[in-house]
Amino acid sequence: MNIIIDGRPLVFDGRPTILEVAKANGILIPSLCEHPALEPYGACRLCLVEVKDRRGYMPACTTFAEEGLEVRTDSPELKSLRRGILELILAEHPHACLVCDEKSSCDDYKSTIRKTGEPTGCVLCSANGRCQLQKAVEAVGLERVPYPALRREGEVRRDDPFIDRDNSLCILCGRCVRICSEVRGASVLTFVARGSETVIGTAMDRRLVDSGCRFCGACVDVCPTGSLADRSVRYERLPDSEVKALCPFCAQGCRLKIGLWDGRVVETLPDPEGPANRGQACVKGRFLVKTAVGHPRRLLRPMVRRDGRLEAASWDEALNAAAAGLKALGDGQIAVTASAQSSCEDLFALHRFAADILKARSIAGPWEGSAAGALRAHGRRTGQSLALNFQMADIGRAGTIVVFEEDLPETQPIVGVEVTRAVRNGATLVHIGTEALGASSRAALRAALPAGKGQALLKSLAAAVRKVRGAAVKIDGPKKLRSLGLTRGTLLDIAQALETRKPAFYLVGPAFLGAFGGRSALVELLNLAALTDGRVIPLDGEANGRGGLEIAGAFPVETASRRKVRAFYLAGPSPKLEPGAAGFVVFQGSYEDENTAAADVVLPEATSFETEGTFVNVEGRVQLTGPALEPAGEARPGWRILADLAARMDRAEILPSSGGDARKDLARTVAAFGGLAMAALPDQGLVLHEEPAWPGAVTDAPLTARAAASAGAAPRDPDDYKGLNLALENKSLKLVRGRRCPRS
Amino acid sequence: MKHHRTHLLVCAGTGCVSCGAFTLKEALEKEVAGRGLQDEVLVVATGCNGFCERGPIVVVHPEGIFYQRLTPEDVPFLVEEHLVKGRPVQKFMYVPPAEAKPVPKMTDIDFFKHQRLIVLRNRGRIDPEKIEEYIAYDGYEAMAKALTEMTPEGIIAEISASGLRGRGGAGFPTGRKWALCRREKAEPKYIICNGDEGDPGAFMDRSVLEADPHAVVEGMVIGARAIGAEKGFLYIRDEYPLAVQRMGVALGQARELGLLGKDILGTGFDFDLEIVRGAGAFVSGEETALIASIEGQRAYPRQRPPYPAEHGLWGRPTVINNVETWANVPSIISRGAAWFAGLGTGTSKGTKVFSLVGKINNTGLVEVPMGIRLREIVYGIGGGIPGGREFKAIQIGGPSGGCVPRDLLDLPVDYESLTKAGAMMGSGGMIVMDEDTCMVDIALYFLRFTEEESCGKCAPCRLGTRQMAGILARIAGGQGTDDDLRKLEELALTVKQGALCGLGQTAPNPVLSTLRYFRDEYEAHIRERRCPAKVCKNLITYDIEPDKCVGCLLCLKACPVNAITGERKQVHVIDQAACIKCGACMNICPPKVGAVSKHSGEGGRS
Amino acid sequence: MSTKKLTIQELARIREKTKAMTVLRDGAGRAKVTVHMGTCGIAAGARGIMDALLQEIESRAVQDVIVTTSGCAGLCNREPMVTVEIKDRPPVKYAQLTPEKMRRILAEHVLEGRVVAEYALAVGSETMY
Repeated sequence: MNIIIDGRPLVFDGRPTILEVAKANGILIPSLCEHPALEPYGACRLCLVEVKDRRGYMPACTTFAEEGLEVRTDSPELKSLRRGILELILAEHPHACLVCDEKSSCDDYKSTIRKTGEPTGCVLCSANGRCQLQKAVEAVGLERVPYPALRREGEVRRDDPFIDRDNSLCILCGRCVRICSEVRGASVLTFVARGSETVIGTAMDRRLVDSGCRFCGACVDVCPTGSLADRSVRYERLPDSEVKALCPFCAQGCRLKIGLWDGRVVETLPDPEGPANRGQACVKGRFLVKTAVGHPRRLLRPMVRRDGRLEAASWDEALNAAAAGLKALGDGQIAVTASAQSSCEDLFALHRFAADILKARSIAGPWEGSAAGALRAHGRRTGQSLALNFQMADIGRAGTIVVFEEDLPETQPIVGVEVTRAVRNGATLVHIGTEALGASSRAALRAALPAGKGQALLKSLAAAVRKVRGAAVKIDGPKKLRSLGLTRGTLLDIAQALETRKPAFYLVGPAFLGAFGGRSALVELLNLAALTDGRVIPLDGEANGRGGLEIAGAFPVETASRRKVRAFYLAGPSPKLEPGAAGFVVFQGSYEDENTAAADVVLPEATSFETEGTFVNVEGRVQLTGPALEPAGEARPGWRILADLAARMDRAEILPSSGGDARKDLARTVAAFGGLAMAALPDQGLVLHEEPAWPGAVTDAPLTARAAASAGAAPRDPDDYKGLNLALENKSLKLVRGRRCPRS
Repeated sequence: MKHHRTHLLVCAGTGCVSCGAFTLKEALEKEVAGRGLQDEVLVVATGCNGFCERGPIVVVHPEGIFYQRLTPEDVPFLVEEHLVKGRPVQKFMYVPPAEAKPVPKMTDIDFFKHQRLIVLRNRGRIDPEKIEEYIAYDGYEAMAKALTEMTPEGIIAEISASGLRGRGGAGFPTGRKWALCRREKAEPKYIICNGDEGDPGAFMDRSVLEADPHAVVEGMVIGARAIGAEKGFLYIRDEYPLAVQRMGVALGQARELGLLGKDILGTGFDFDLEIVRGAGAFVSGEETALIASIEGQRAYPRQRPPYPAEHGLWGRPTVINNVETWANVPSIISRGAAWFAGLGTGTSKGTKVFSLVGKINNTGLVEVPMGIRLREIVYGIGGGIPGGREFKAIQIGGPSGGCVPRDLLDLPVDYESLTKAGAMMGSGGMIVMDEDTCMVDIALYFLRFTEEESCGKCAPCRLGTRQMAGILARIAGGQGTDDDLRKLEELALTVKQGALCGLGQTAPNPVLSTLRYFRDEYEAHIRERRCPAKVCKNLITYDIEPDKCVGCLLCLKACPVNAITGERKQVHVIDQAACIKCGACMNICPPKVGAVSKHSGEGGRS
Repeated sequence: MSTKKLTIQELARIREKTKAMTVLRDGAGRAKVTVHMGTCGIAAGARGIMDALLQEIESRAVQDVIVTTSGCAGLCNREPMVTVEIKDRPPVKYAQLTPEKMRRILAEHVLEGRVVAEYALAVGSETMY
């Protein structure tokens, strides 16, 4: 369709706003309250434009483009109006630098005086250089502010972890309030008081941490000024380069933009173009990357046990010692542990190493205990192919969402964003689980399920759905329902929603399989999903759980051997080993944990920030992350350690010798990766296959054999990253986790 | 119903209630019962009678005698004389100012004589808490007609033909709004009554809700039928507890009789109403903010388009009209569009209710045909300016409106004429001002109001009203400069053009209109540090004239800050540094002495 | 308060029933009966006349007659006195009444328009106050 802006004929399709059309065509219309993630708001009034044959001025951000409209953005009256509005805004925002005569000659002092607590001008503000108010002033061309400067009241609030709040810088654009409510569903920040006395604050002016804030950082990201700021950044230099990388702390697959100065992490922001997260992140990816990367417990050097003590050694020494210890053992005598937080390349190399070189007794990963694993297993058992892939956007379009005891903002934050979107569009949210979590989820319908009653509850629900559909079924009586934590009314309401508000999504995480009654409950759930045309979405918590599940399936391991385990290759979480009693222990990891002390050889592994690698998120999306940093100390990528080790065991040819090779091997070997263009992954990543893609591809053997072998896999804390518990190691995160306050 | 031979209609609108109307009613009932007359004499509490200046009011029927300023102490004499002996009591009757003889009958009193009651047809003559009394005066007959003899399109056509325009201030043609909403396909649809009357000095909607709630209910049922809604909301500001209570009673009684709720009058039409109380902000009278408030959100206005008729409450098509607009609907349906269109002017049909307040003899509520001259309202109905002062201006439309000066007193009251003159019909508040009113002070008063009530969402209003109020405060304080007038006009334009909603867009009107007609007053404040009306405290001084002062100590004792010194029989002196300009000394100095005078300009500020 | 839902006919019926009230408040009756209740009148028994009149009106369900009082008419020895004014006709004064006579006046004069000459004192207008 056609539209004319400032005399330029432009073409558009769909239903964009005038502002969006202008932006797409390089026409600058200043705006401060608009944001692509938020609904149009029309409050700052800077983007007012004239439309032919329409009375008055209208905001370009709220007015939709229509065929044949003629728009003027730059008439003298509009320019004058824009200037007038900016002058008013600046009257209540520290603007000394904007009108200072020395503004171009104070460069020498700028970087240090940014530390001042209360800015009176740009150079003292942490947002200097990135402030959108500065940009608007530049675009409009303002030289003076004809009003006496007024400093908005209130001290700078520094009583929260991570985030500082400076009311004197706030221009009341409302973006923080809106993103917290519209997108994140937390509604922590709101407008307090009215008119010129309005401030942004919390209920009863509590700290953010006491108001249910999860510190996802979205408010800081959308704040156009320095009013909401990341405290750690104000003491840093601004980044001199930026690299995109995936966040490895959970399974959402968020892409971050890592700001570096002199090769060191300054800050990490969510990538607005991240295909899975689209500009959103969570407290870990947003604020804790620095903590993880530079933590004192990082293993920086290879170590070898000599005379009973672990000592630093060279890579050669360490690799030789490891090879020697492992070569001495036969088939089935070595137990291997794998981590769901390792990249596909690392996991592939590990599995090949363990299966083909070590002839390991077991490769224990958390696959079977995962939701995806359980679904996959059930599918195989019953001969169905159960889809594991989904798209975040699907959840945003749900009609009914049933969550089983997941604290989405903590364990599945991006899925949580989509759930918020769906609810905002009228979807019904149902929470089945503990009362505290249910209240905090603000689900419309809740059932407090006692442990182990999952199967009974789901059966009851299925019967209720049939009843709502008109069948002559009996639903459970009040006593039975009470024992399931339900009332008849709630049961029927849930059934009604499932029946009338479609599609239905059942979000299932590890908690479902544990407390709710495991496999039998899963069977009932799948029945219910089939009955309601719904989908069961498995949501696991680790960065590459799905990748690991697929890779593990391609390497079946025999457990027929009854020989004693005499060595451990720990490349993933493991129960505590008794020092000395376990046998020969090789520890490959990034952080020292309780088993490092028991190791005979320690091989330091690079984190995902320090090497390229692919990870598969909950959607089944394969994304490639590049290295953002040089590996710390002497750490090396996992696949490389294994390749070097294989070489010392004369089996070099078996393992890939580069990340690219590993990906090629994946595509050739593992069914789910079959035929994917792993050598040239596009920006949005690629989605795994759900079926074997070609004849002859390796299919998974029955899981029962491996079930016993993986019995050692311990349930993982969501804040654990490769053995480093971020919540225990970082005081701020500890405070945030401890203060999670369920709200009713 | 018992046949009482006399009805005593006691006005129980909020104004009279605050003067003790309920106590008066109790006294009357007690006296009547004490004399064994309770089967002959009925005491009825009605809604606002309208002549608020003269409350508490009792009207005796069938004679139609109007008694005013009654106290419970007057009751025994009144009952004895009028009810028992049949001799109406002259000393309680209304005597027009500057006349000697009382006017006994209400219908002969000028204040009432020149009014034309449509919206207020039942005011003061029915007990609003008895639905039978509403029905007695043809209540719900229009609804019956609309539901059984008319189609929804027919109803809309009738309302359109009548020329009824929204009475809340914007004056949008009501029929057109209904037609636009009816056209929308989305469901369900809603109708809303905007009872969040917030203009200072306006109480038209309150009186209608307190005196005749069923008129609004009936109008809304008809409207719901027209556009196809099953649910409606009455948004009544929380500061009107009597209105909320009476409306609640009315809704209950209407439901009991099947005039509201399911299957109304057996016609199969379902419609019900819910009262929502306001949360204390002026801005929630703005339609999109009101809708946000009903939704449970902060009362922030939303950008229009889309308009509520297309996308309103919970995103559904919604018709929102003012109390007065709804109250007009039954009459139009009963008596026909042509009858209604026969009143008023070419573009402004029907009548309008105004609250006439300020420096006026007959303060109260008036309903007059559109097109009536302002002069007639001020002098004919209002009885002119008290105390022999001169008319200066009349503020119409509250904080969104402007003042109309003496030269324009012959202006006809209709939407277009008022807007052209720089004022606005608004919701109908009329504040009369005399020569003792300072126009700069008035502009400041309204700007402070708008600044405080601004919701704060958009930058121009939130920040611009503060700056404008600041400049006006400086001018009123004697610190203004000529450049301030230019700044004021520029700011006014920025706010007017930039603001998101009507509150901001019209906030500069009081400034612009006072600057248009009374620029000389502004200039006096700025250039001469003089307030011509002698109001602005920083620019006035009180002085005691030595040759007039008799040394009686009265002002000395009255002064709250002990700023006056003097001995008995000696000239008193005011310490200008301590004086707070309260005027107590001037009030208390005996008229025969008149030694205290107020000055501005000469000698400057203190 | 009954919980019966109304039909349109019932709406009209309520209007009929309450007509007396509207007539009274609008001052729009067809006839007006003034009972003189000055001190002499009350002493002579005007109250009884009033009671009888009201009772009769109620029992006959008369809707459009206004009853009012006034002060002494001047002829104190002829009390109790009552003035009957039918719309558009000259007022008629009745004197020395009893409750019985009042009832008859109501039935014959007020309702049927025939002056009851034997009780009448004078026919002609007179200012009330």
